[in-house]
Amino acid sequence: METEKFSYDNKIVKMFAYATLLWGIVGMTVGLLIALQLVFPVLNFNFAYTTFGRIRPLHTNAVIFAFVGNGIFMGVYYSLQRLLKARMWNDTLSRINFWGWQSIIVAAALTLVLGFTSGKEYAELEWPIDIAIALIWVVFGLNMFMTILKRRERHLYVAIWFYIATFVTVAVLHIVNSFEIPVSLFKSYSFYAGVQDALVQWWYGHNAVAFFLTTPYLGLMYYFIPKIANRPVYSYRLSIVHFWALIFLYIWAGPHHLLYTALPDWAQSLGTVFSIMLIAPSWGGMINGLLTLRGAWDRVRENPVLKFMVVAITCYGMSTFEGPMLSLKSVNAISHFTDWTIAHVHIGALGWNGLLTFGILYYLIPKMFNTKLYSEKLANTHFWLATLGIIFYALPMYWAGLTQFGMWRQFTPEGFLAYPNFLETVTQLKPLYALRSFGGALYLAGVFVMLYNVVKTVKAGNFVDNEAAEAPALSKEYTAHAGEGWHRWIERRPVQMLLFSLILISIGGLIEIVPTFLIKSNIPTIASVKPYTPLELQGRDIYIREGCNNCHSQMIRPFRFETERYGEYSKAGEYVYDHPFLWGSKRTGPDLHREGLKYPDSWHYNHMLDPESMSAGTIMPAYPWLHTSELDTASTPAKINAMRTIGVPYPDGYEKIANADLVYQEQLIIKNLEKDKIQALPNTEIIALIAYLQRLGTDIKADKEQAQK
Amino acid sequence: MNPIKNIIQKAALSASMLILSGNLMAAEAPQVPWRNLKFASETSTFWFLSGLALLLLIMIVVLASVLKSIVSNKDLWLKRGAGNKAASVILVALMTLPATSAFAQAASPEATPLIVMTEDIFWVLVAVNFVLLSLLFAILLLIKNLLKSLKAEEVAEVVPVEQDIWTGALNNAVPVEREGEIMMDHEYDGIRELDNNLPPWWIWGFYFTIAFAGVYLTYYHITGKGDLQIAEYEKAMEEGRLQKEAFLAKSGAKVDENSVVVFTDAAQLEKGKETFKTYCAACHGQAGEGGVGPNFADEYWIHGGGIKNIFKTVKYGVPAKGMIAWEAQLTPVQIQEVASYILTLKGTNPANPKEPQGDLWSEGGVPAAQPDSLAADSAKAPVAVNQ
Repeated sequence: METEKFSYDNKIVKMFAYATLLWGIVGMTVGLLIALQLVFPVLNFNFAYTTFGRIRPLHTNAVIFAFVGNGIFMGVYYSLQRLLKARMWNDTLSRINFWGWQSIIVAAALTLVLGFTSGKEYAELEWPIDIAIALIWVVFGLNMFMTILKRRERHLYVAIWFYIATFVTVAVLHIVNSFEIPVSLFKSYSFYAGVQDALVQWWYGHNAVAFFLTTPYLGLMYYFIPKIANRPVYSYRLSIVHFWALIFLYIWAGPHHLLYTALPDWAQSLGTVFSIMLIAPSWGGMINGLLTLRGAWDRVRENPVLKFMVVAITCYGMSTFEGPMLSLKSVNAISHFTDWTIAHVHIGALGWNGLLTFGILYYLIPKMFNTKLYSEKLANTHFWLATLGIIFYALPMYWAGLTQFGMWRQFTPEGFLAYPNFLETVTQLKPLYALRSFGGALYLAGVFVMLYNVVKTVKAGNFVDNEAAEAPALSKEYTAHAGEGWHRWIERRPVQMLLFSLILISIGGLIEIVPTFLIKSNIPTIASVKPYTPLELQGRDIYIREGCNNCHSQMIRPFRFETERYGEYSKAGEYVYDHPFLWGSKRTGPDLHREGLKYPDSWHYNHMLDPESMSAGTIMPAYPWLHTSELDTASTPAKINAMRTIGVPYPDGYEKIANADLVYQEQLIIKNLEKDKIQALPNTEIIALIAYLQRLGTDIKADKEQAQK
Repeated sequence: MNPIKNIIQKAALSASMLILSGNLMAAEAPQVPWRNLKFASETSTFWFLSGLALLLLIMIVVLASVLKSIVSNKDLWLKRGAGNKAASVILVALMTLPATSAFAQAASPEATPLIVMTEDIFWVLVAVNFVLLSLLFAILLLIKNLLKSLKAEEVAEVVPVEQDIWTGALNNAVPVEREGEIMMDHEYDGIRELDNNLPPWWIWGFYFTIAFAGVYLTYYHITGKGDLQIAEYEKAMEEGRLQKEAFLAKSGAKVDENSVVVFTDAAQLEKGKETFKTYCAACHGQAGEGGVGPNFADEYWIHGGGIKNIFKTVKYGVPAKGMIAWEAQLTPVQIQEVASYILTLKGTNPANPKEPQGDLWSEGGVPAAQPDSLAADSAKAPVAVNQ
């Protein structure tokens, strides 16, 4: 057969590699800043654009979608071409993929800081950016798929199965979770409300972990580990079993983020059992990674790249065992809302994604620049900084989680909460937060060491944009080998593989999500729960803009120690007008679901102006700009209309008189504040926020009073 | 004679023997005087589970005898030599298992007729079935592997390689030295693939988690035996209430708005002051001069003065006006202390006093007006706060 000559596009890989490095440093630096803010609140700088609530999403988005995202593209663009013996289908699409993704990142960074956010974790970006993401993702998928179709290799290697599953699932997750109704260019409301929104969001959130942070990286592992170690993959049949089991089971596990919430019990239980069943399929990847190194362990001792890989896979194994354990109800009661979750995700992010990315970079850069790594010694230094960084990060966070939970649930013999003041349970953690920041700083220092090493290597090397390669073209005819496994069939059929993956990953989502829309009993309605008033709605949008939900939950779980602290546990029917839901996932501050009428208006006014004045020692940042910024009442009619479109029963024509209602309610609050000698500026944002906070969780009280009469 | 044929014959023989004995046991069972079986479904569940256990047991014994005949066939093992040490260890261990399960059979419900079907028995039966099923699979796997190795031997002489227990028994892996035998014939960018077996501990772990899922869902959602979150919550609240009552009864700290008296003891007033600084000063001022909340140093009271009214106001709060019900955070004695301390503030003339609010109160006398206003408030308050 005739051999064809072609070349691999290395330049696109180099571009993604640089972007990975850049955004890694940005994302981790912001991470370090928010970690320090929890120890030294002064680092919020009394400045809207640098408060924790706005830059915490910046950190998570930068690390997940910018650092890991570029890492995925880097690894896929490198390995895909070689595994298929083909250049990327279209260089222009590759460039659009690159520049499109970088523009999205820049847009994300700007809008998040400016307070344009949908309020949904890991999906904060507003609708124009959501559309851009979908388009660029399709560009990536198209480029990848066309390359697959014109490949010179008959069968698809396991890494590519993972890439295909990643592409199709991320597309489905992103599109379904991003259903939202635009109000203006940078404001939208989630199409789903309350419990449904929560379910869709965590189906998305959990599987963003699964199909953005896990499956593409497993694909990368399957390519780079055998390449670097020069060893055959341990078990082909294990690859098959764990791949299919993993993608089928993963999608079901989302509800484990909502245990002990207002989500129906059956959905919670499905989340639990599917998480437990995930242990083995997840570990299949770990086994195949680690056992591929059989016979190469002597090299692991010397080769820093392999060291990164081994610790990365070990972290993967640890967090994929920990995750299912956290899905057990009794364990989840502890970890949910505490720093345990933070520790858990960082084992995954710093350990699995971070170290694997570093390992790949240390391998790829010298290889593509046709030189040797500038300094193995510095790479080793980086390895130890990173490993120690992870330990110093994770251990204090585990400790913090257990400590805080212990304090939350402690009762005195008299039957009172031992720590009724939530703040006590936070200030207790400050030393641990400081230690965690130290761990983060170590890890970041390691990245700078790598940056230096990479720069030096690049300078010494000689980069070839287009690496020459040759391979025979694929013949039309294929005769199967004797005794060939059944799975080989689908390995030569990428379209079928794509479709079959799509079907498999759709099952879990459909079974869990659809019933909450169709079956009324899943979300029992409460008669006294009414839509927000225009002023409250505006206040809620300020709450979302400032990212209050990053530290405050709105979900009181049915535990004695929560109802004693916050009031009656939260009911599904209370959230039916919440577009989006704001249950939160971490309590750095107390739950706010029953905050309404707990304190006078003046308390909130003062507290937002200077939190220290109302609760000494708090780490909450001040929000002084709310007291002077004018409330944007021009948006009220559009907001009312948008809400009505997605099912909130505002009467027809209400948008015309909404602002009159808004002013009326404003006056009530201003008068209330005057009684406490506070002269509030009329039509300021703080008034709207107070209105929203005072409404929180109060509807159900009206229902109780009704029942009493 | 072909050893495998021999084994199969023996297996058939022992199986028929067992089915016979199984029938005998089954024939005995219906005469058992079952009582308290109220529902047909319960009865049928019981029979289904018992029958399943019996069936599994029979299959296990049959398979065990097959195993036994494989192991006891000296010719086979002599030829095989000292090959797979780890496998023989597991084999010996498994050989003892059928014996144990025979004991288990004696103790299991179908052999002890005078037991009434209860929840416990249901779970015991489920557990027994689960263990039996696992055992069955384990034996099947073992037989499959043994037969495979025997067959392989007939084809080619195997070169014995020292296996360490980790790669061998634990992962069922082919040693690195012989990996050429399981190297797949494909290659991607220089990457080759081996075709090692799925590690037994992994596959068994997987089965276990699947079984766990079944049991979990059955327990919580089919039988309804497990407490779902609201039931769990209600139990915890009841438990908390009982603990609290027991403690208060024991410590004699039961004070309420009817029995409360003023503390005059300096130590107790000092405690009251501590409490005041911690919880009250934010709204009522460090010296009780008032702030968000009313002034305590004057003679005017919104909800009535005097120890009883103050105790009541602190205990139940006035939620409509932002005063918290403190009974969730302060003990009755603490409320008594802080109320007594508040009474000492009268006439202290602190700086920046808030203007008087409410009505003039004279001790021992009647409040000037609205004697029932507080009663109305406090009657409502616990409803709003405690629900």
